[in-house]
Amino acid sequence: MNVPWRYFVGESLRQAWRQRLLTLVAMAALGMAALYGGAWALLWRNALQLERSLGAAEQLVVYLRPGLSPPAQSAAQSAAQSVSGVAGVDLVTPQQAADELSRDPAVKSALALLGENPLPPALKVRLEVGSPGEVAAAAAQLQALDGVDEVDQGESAVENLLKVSGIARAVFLGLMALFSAAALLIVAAVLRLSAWSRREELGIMRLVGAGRGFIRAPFLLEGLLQGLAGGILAAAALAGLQTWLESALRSALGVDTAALLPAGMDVWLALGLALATGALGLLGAALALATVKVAYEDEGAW
Amino acid sequence: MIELEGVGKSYPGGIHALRDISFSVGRGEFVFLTGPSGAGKSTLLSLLTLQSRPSRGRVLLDGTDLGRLAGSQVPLLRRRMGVVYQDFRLLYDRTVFENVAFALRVLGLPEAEIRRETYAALKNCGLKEKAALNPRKLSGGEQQRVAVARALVHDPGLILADEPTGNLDSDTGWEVVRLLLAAHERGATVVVATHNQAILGAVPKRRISLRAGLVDNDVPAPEGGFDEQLPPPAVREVLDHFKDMGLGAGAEAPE
Repeated sequence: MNVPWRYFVGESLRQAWRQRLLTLVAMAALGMAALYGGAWALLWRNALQLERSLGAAEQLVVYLRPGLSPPAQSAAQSAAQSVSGVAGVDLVTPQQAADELSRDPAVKSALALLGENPLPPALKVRLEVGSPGEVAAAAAQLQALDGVDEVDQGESAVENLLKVSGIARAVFLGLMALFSAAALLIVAAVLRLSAWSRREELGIMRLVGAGRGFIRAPFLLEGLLQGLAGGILAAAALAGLQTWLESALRSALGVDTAALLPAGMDVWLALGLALATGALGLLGAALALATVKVAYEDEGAW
Repeated sequence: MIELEGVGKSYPGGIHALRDISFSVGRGEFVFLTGPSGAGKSTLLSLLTLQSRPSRGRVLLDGTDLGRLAGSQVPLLRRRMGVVYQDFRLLYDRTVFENVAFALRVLGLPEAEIRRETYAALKNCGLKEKAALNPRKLSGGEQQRVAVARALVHDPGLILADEPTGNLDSDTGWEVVRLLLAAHERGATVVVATHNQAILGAVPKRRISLRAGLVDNDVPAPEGGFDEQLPPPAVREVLDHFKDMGLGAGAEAPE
């Protein structure tokens, strides 16, 4: 049996046009959900970029045991270099450390009072990894190396920033879920109303021999198309908003927005958004059809 | 083809539309189902069209018990029949062509075949020129002919008609009867529910009379003998048709 796709598409478009006000309401609801979804996706992508860029500057100080011989210090440097996520390692001998600290006259006189250099040899480790988990994992590996006394991760302002960004993402995610649920209910209500207003027509179709699939296909397609359209419109709106924001920031503050918003709307995000919203529309249509009864048939006749 | 065995149909509130109906209709037979309003004709047809299920007894169509048929099988069975209703039941947001073509679309036929068969059916029912119109623009008789074209377009083995002439004037009613007789002539089994005495008197076919949900009378097709007092010209056409078929040899069309 041929699947009459042309008929189904034509039928769904015809119905959408016939009830264009309801179609617009459904598309607006789906578009709002998509707008939130897209904003969340953009925030997530930019936060990820931010994490990576902040993480790239992360540096650990690995203190070696005092009195460790220079060959052992070099061995520890080589071992640290091979740890996953480490971008570079500089060895700081006790003398180099003392010289550096001695730039401060107070520290210099304190060191002179001690007579013997109390500073241990150390490794300055630059990491190429970004997330707090990855930094902690690298620190644990460095701590386990031979000759290592202590690993100092320092004050993690980055970690705080990342926490804030994580909270923001969670809040957006929650809002997006709420908007999606609201959009789903609106689409289901709109399509249920549409099916209800056509229950006599659908009943006649059943009498002529149309199966459930034949009757449902145009409705499901209508939900899918509404979702796709809502998603595409939302992606276009987000792209426009982003362009406007970049331009406004650039002219008002002279800020390089490419650094602030490194990950913008692209084809893949727009496509993902449209498909996700299409799926939401499809689900709404399926929900609507599950509850509509057609005319001319007894309860439970089929 | 159709067998009813002790069929009853009750509705909530103690309404018994059918009480104990038993009869059978053979393949290729033409049967009138008659009786006064409320006798149970439409209820009986609704069981055959699977719009409802019997409360008691069995309704068999080609050996299939319709009361036990799975929901998924209902559309498949309906595609094997053509149904004409008194209130036409057309799709008023589509053209005449689309209404008739719909019966072929559900069969999943290719578009070219749908177009060919639909135009053939419209031509057969004298509606080819009206194909692009909305059914609302047609007269009652024409709308009923659209319904008949839709019922016949897929050449079904069983045609059911529930008061097909009920909303039509005499001449247009006879046109519909002519179309049903022509389908019967091509081999279809036809069951027509009607209380139109003019048609019952003129067309020599088996009559099953219902009264208060019971079979009151089951009269086999008479040997000829048409009522010659019926109005021309559509009657003349029917009578001529029967004479051509060698039926009702004693009948003469009114001058």
